Amino acid sequence: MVHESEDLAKVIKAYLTLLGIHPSDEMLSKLSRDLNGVLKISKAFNDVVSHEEEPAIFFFSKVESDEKK
Amino acid sequence: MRKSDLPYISIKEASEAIRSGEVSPVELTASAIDRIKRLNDVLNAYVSVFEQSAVEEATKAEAEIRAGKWLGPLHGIPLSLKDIFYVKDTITTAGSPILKDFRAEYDATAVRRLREAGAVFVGKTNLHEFAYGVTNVNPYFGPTKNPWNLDRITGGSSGGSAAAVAAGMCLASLGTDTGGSTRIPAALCGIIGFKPTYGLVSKHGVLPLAWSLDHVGILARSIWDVSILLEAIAGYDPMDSTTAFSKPFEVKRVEGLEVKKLRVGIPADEFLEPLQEDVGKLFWNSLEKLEAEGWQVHKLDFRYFEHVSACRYIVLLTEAASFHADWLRRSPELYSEELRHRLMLGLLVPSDVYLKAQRARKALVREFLRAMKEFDLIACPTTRVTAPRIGEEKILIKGTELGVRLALVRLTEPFNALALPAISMPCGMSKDGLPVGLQMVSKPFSDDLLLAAALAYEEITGNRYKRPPL
Repeated sequence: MVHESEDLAKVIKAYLTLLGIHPSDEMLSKLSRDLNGVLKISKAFNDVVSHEEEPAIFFFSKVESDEKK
Repeated sequence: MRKSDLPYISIKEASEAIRSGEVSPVELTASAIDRIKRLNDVLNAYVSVFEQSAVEEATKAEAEIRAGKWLGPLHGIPLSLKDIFYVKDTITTAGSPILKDFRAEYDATAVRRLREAGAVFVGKTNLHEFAYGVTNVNPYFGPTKNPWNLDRITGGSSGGSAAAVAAGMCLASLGTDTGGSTRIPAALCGIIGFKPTYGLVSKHGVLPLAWSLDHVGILARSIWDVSILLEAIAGYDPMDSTTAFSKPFEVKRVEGLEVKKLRVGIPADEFLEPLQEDVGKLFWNSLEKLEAEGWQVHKLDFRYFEHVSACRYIVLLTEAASFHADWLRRSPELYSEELRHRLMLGLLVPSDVYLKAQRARKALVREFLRAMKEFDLIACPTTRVTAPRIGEEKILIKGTELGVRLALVRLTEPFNALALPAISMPCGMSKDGLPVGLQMVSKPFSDDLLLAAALAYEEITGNRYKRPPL
């Protein structure tokens, strides 16, 4: 468990560094904990999402066609 | 009408007084500006005041009305705007030093529409940093203080607008609402806060927090005032591809709707509780009054509020991070530590998780509307607690310790993810003299029914705006 969390912190650090963002060690450990939380929460979506479900779309097609004119 | 009443009159009263010549737009605007000068050092509600341009706009309105060119009930009415709306040639900070020099080149659509209706803008109001939070304790501008108790927060993120409206520093204000940012401060400050159906009001020229959750909100002291503002700003906007081709919203539809014996759904205790004792008591008392008038109140069968909140959390994290990524890279030190952390976390959310949240959201909207089939409205308290103390982080409710954010946002946030119209109205005062809010929610594009129900609620319960002791 400790290893997993350390590995995740390393991945986070590498990814954010790639984006040009440099979090402190303290922040990295908090990010690692909270990202785990996000991933855990997202598992609950399996209760309600069928394989065919599309994402919620809030862009109205008529507007998009107007913009193409 | 006494001069001392001017800061507190409704837009309806002000408009009638302007038409009859009893009050002029210049007098009304001067009264709002005097009030700002007297109270802003105490409340910290405004971050900028447009004294000169407001007087010019009011003078112009007065001349037009005298010349018989009355534009409607907003002509000459002093309003404020959350400092997240673009106003041409003025600074829009969104509550952050990152934008301290950002001068908008155009008016937001909602601002332009109010301007065309003759409104006068007296200034821009304080907010939570980038509207990302619900306390309005802004690290750059300082906290906004609650007009009912200066040791308490206003709630946010439209807290400056709520304090300004409650304290008579303008007649109404525009805010935004991504998880409750209009309804929460309205509840905590004892005024009305309304979030329309997603897509009814354009967000063009409003700095985004999370595109698919953001709504323009209205903060006012009466339902009619909310309705007249909505009539002015609602409708399709070619500059905002999320606006819908709905029928134009009209105040007369609110006034003409039959709202007796409405069917009201109440979410299960697992969603509502824990509630602070006074909040629960005032909420259930109000419902009893509605029932006595023939409204039918029953339990709502919807078991997925936790899922809806999870969707909103993930969508908010991800969309906000996408918007802020460049600034975060260039100037991380200009964000508060808390916001910097949330934005970094948002950058880490995998695309699959974001899309799954949006897919779940679609299924949850469908499920919620199915549960709402038997009802006209849903009702619940707006927040679980009255205004917390400034700096307070945890609150004990019935033996359960809750974070302030959760205690404030949990009952409002689902209706952003579900894109439904929702309103917070005064519901009485707690024993320690703080306002409590009651929230009602209706179906998509039933904003007129919601406002008609809110009007009836006001009449039946007698719960209306009260002046804070300032």
